[in-house]
Amino acid sequence: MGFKGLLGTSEENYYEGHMSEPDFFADLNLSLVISGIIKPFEKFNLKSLFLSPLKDIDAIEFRQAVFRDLENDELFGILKKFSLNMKTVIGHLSTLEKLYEYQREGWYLDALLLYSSSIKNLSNAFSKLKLESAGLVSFRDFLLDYINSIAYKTLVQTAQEIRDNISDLEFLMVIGNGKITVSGFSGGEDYSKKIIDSFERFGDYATHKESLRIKENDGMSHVEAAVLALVAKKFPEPFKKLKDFYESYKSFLNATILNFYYDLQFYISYCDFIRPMKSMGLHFTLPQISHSKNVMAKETFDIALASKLTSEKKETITNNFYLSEEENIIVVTGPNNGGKTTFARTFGQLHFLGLLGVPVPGACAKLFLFDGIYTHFERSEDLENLRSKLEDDLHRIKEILSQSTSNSIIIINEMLSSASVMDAVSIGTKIIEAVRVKGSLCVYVTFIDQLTRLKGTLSMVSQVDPDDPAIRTFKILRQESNGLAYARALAEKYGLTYERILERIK
Amino acid sequence: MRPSLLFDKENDRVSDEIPWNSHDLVKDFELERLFNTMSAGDKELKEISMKIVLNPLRQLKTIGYRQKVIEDSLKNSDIIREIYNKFKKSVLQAKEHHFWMGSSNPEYILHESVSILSTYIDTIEYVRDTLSRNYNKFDSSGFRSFIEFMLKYFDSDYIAEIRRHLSNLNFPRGIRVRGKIGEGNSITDYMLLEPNPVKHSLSRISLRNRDRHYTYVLPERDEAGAQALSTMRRKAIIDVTNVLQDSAENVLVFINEIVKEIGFCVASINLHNAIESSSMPIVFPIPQDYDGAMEIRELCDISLGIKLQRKPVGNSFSTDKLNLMIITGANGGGKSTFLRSLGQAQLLMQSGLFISAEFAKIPIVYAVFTHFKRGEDTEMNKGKFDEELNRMNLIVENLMSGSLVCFNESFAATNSIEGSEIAKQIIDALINKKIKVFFVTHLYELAAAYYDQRENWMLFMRAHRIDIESPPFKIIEGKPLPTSYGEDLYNSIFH
Repeated sequence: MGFKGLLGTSEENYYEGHMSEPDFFADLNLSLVISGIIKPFEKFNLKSLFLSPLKDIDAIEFRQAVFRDLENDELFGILKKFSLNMKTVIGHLSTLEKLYEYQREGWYLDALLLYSSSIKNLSNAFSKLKLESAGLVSFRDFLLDYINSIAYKTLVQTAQEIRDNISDLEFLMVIGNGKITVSGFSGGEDYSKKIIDSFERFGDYATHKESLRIKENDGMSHVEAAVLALVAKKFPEPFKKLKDFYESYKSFLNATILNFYYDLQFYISYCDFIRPMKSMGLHFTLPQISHSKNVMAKETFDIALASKLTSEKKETITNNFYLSEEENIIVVTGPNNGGKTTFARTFGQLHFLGLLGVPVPGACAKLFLFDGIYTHFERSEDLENLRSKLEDDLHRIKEILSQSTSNSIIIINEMLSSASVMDAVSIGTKIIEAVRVKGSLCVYVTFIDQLTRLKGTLSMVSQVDPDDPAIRTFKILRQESNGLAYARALAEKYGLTYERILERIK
Repeated sequence: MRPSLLFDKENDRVSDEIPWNSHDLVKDFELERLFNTMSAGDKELKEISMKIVLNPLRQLKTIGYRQKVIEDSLKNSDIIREIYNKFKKSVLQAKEHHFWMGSSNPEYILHESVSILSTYIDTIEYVRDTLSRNYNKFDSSGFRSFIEFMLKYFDSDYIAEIRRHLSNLNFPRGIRVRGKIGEGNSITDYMLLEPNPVKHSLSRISLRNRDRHYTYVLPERDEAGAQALSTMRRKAIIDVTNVLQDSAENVLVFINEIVKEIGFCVASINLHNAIESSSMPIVFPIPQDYDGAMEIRELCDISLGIKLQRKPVGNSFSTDKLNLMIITGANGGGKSTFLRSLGQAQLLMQSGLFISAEFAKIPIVYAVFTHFKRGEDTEMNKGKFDEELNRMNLIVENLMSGSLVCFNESFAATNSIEGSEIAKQIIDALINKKIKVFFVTHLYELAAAYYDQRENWMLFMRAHRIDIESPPFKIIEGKPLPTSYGEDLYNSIFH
């Protein structure tokens, strides 16, 4: 089986996909997440990949298998090193035209040597480590054939010989006022060492100071280039070989290896993004994706929020959920700022990421192969005309209901807050019934606890700290909503719950 | 390579950190005036004096060694001052160059390091010559070995070698450097070669002549090129610059070490002159073992004498063994002055200096601590008694067996019975831990308790009231009397 790329999609649609962000991205804070992932990888044009959920379970599992292999830190480290080296190689090759004579050939040679040592290391690591994913296995096989080909071996060997010959050269420069003379080097000691010896007796008093350094790699100046040309004149043979070599093998990069390198960035970028969260103790898991709506996740969290909190060294609260048969709508109630919106986002993010084939927040997860995500989050209030806001809301919800299918995910947040409670109850009831009948997966965030008792719904409530009702825990639990979570906590604190009062009064 | 003028062996050295309780010591023994006299306005001398005086020597022979060095200094004060000033001047000069050392341009730094080192080497040579010319005027093994040290480590060959390096590093014939070809064919691995190599044999020269060489000449007005050339020069000299900069720094530390030692000699000359001009007696005390006898005759408070510009009242006593001295008696009777003169004498003796007395035999102690009553001016959040106990707590935390603690009116911030009881428990504990205690107190209960069960290692001294007996401020041996503070106060107010 030949190597067909690392992304599990066919050759043709490698980099196709959505170029613009879908409507729900802003509501789910996925814009932040995706830009956070791809920002360090700007050159690779990864955005369309991260905007394109897969529709095919096989393709998803193909990627998941690669991610599973990458859970081996050693392998990941080696691939990252390979990737960095490839970046350097390509960087050098892209600037050759601008360089001085001999410098150009020198960088070309070193790029080739770096390229060959990187793929050699990669191949060695592959042969040592256990690979399970079809993507990596097929690349490993390709690579082995490639580096054992006679043509490739000759190329590398010749390059190495030329480099060794040039590295062995030693020459004497006399730097005077406005001129430099190059001649052969006939031996001599490092004068600095002699001076160290002369002052050695003061060594008892050594005060270690930070040494001055000259910045290397500032590029070559025209003076250095001129001196290099003189060195080439002084030692014509190795430099001539170098020039001939350069002329005869202008391009050495293999297209398959290049493709692997580009595809690999998808995995590296995502792994890099989630690593800080993992080291804060948060879990990521490769979800089971299926056509079943009995979805679940344990210890899951809002990846956008967690990324921010992690960068501030703060802890992220995780939540669990599961939907059983006959339940397709989670209605979330509870105190303000208790994490209801965050929970709704988490549900949407989880599904979106799941269909990208990447590890999702959580200790384990079963997710649904959806055909679309529709969200309606309350936008910043425009108080000028509440009635028209309600109207807008209803228009929007109608649109969602008409576009979505039984395989869609619908997330509605703080709907109808501009309506009277009476209106809100009746409108909300109707919407939920419509969604239930349609069978879409839905998260519905509301203040109205009556909605939690409708058919097809599952009630989840955001919690407060029992000791201090002013502190929100950001935990959302599967629980019957009575609209009293806040009040009950306060009452318990002062020993005034119904039960406590019965106990206390003798 | 370490000069040892003030210490006869490397391992006799004591800490040269200013100890944690220096503030109390200076204040309680009025050492500020003493140090000011020693330093005569030279800030560095003051620091040197403090560091040495406040870190007592702890062996009889090292004190004897130091006393000889000080005697030599007094005898050859002109030479000592000259050497000190010469060193000071070269350090000062170097400091002016030092301004450039902050630069990140190795060419500047190398140039400045060369200048600084030239100055240092000139000075070292000068001092070596001055001292060796006067070798016979010095008797102490300290000075003699110091001079030998200078001759050994800074012989003419060595000085010439250093000077040759320094002149080489001006690169009169260009910078000779070995190069190699590195990554991307950059020129790398610069290794500086000796600018004026030793002449090769004839055959080598002819071989060299056959070696073709190629020259690049920078076009005129090629500013960027000049910059680039300078970068290459810097790469060639960066290593040697680091070496030279470090060396300049190291030589400075070495010189400062000598400045410290010679400086203390200068400070002792200054102190000697001041005591003499105040007509106070001067004597080198004879150090005794910790358990040895103590005898003083006409011991004076030097700070007070220098202030008064005349000899203050001196005190005397003699005892075979002294672990506890309790000083009682009238207010304004000179008790504090007496305690101060004892503290000063202890510290001066243990830094190898003379004291103001006609004769003195003093046992050495490990370290000196003071616990003096503090005036109302100290910043106090705590109660006064609380503050006193807190300070005592700090002392106990740092105390070692063999030390001396001087108390002055301590633990009097509570009623006298309580104060006495606490003081007695502290004193008993200290004595038990082999710590000497000098205690000035009004607490009659305390003094009487010890007097009632007096031992041969206790000494009771008493300040006498002005109206009776002896000259004013004289402290003489005597039984504690139930004189009360109130009575003194009454007297001072109603008379």
